[in-house]
Amino acid sequence: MAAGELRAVVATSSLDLGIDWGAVDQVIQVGAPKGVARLLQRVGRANHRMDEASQAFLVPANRFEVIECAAAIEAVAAEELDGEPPRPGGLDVLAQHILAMACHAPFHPDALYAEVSRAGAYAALTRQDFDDTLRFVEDGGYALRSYDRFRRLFRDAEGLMHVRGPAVARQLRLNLGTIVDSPSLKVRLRGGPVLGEAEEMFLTSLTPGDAFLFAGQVLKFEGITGTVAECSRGAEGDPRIPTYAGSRLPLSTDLSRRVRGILSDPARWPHLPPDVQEWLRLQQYRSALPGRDDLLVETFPRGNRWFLVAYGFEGRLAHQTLGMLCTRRMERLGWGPLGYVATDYVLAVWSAFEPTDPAALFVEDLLGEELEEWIAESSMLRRTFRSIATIAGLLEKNHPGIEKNRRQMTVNSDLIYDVLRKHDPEHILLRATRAEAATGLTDVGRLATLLKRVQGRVVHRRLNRVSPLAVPALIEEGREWVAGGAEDALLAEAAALVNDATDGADAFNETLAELTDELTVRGARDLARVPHSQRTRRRESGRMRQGGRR
Amino acid sequence: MICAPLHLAGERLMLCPSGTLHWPAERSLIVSDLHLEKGSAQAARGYLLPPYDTRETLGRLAQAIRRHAPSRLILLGDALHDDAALDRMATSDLVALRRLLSGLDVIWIAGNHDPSPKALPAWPWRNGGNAASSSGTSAAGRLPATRRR
Repeated sequence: MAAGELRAVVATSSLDLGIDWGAVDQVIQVGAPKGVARLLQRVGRANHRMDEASQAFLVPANRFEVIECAAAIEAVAAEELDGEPPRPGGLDVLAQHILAMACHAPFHPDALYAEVSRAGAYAALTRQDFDDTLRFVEDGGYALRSYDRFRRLFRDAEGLMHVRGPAVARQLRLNLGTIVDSPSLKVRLRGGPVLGEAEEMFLTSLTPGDAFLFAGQVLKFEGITGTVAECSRGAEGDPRIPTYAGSRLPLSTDLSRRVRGILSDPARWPHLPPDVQEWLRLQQYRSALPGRDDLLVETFPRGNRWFLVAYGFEGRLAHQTLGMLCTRRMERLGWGPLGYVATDYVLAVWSAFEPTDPAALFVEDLLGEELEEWIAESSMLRRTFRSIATIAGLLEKNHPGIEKNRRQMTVNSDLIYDVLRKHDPEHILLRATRAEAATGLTDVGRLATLLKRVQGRVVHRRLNRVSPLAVPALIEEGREWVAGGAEDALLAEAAALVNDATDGADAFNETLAELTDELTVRGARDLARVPHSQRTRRRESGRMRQGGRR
Repeated sequence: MICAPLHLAGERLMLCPSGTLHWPAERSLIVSDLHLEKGSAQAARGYLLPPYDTRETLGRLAQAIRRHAPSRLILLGDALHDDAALDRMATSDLVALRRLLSGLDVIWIAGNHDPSPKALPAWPWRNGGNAASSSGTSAAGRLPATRRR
């Protein structure tokens, strides 16, 4: 790459930042950029020189993304950068810092607290939290004080904290850093060499006999022993492709505001592609357009279920949380919620009974009890705990080249999480985990803003069938619950949806069919985690297009 | 979840969801790899894992014993995580362990993690009174003879 021998590189966001790499002629951004600053950063990779303009192609993957790209271009032209406000510093990082400071030189807790709270991220750090974190570094900070013997720090007569010995310092250095890998397993050919590593999440979703593509060959999955996934040659059937989950950033707040602005104002549509304009006009005719500051909620029956689609435009994470909370509330209201799906743009919930008064769902007290309940039991918290425990120095990172012997078997972070919750619920790491979950993965802050904004402004449209804008969301819906060979049914359904929404308007049928086509391709790629999902994609895309023209 | 039967050499053994094996005909409960004090072993290495693992394990074992009311407990090995495990164990846990084993005929097979036999006098059931003890290969000899047909 650096030598300029590659004609093209297909990259994730990993090439966005920090790599100064001059000879890029053209950037092609596939999918919506999700943020203005992110788009600029990416485009800036091309012609990376002070005095020359950078150019890029944007390739939106569906109609919503067309609007999002248009909004992003507008924002760039208006020189309005977005960005998330900095988050308060984590206690796990603080724990690592405290131990690192002790390894550097003895320190006095008062002085270190004064120094740490001068940093912006820790300006709001209370002395109590600091002291608790310090105690965690010292002896684990457990309510049961049984680790006096294993203290990592000791206090001298003048109150200075010293590190106990070189072993502690060595251990700190080995674990320094705040990036935690997702757990991975080795992939080994049975009776042969190790071929590489893949994410545990992907490998554990395979069943013995499944075919998957790895290291340029199609392998048959045999099973997992310890930290090794055994496989053999001679697999049958379409292979699945390993996925590396990474993190998908949600649509930024500013961009979301611009998207809502474009949607609600037909005067700004002329520079959108004609088919997108058509799509929006049809939505305006059949239902309503999402407004700048309100919340459009559509309900309609379909099959034996009722659907509720809320156009929040607050990003996938916030919508996911909203979906979880809404379904809990619907349960209480007796509407019989059956499931939900969240995208960057909408939340779609389906239920057994008609949601008669959707405004009752989008109220601010949703963030009270229901949120607490959910956060306590969600598996997302376990993932968060794992990285917090690793950063704070409770768990070892995997060191390259150091094989753990049997006495140092890997410690299961889920187990530790459960034990802590049971015996020490107020432990500092659990507090840190809850705080992190509230800001990061659940995006509660954004959800709160949304609920506040739409109080008294919920626009409810009760329709007798799906609206044009809702079609993409419902296709996503199919994507969530479909598994195994059910794709046929899904695609037939998608075709029917297209017919439903367009009611025979031929030209529009065509464009929506294209749209659903694109969506399905993306869906199938994401579906790589669900067994057998890849099998019939191509064949069915074609069939669906036919269905759309019907 | 309920226990699932497993037939082995003409005997019916019950695989229990608690992770134990129950042998109703012999009124025996069989457990393995308790690794008591694994947490504190990590703590000694500088990873201060929660000190509740022994308490948790003993609690689960007590539950299984209450449920099946065996007269014999067979530990298949690695009941303790390492040689010094008993020294590190909290007093309350030691007491709980003794109480748990005191009314039972205990067959403790030493695994590679368990303390070496020379540390035997310190093993809990010695002080616990009426329990029998054994170690290593000799323990196998103490297993009740399987009824052959």
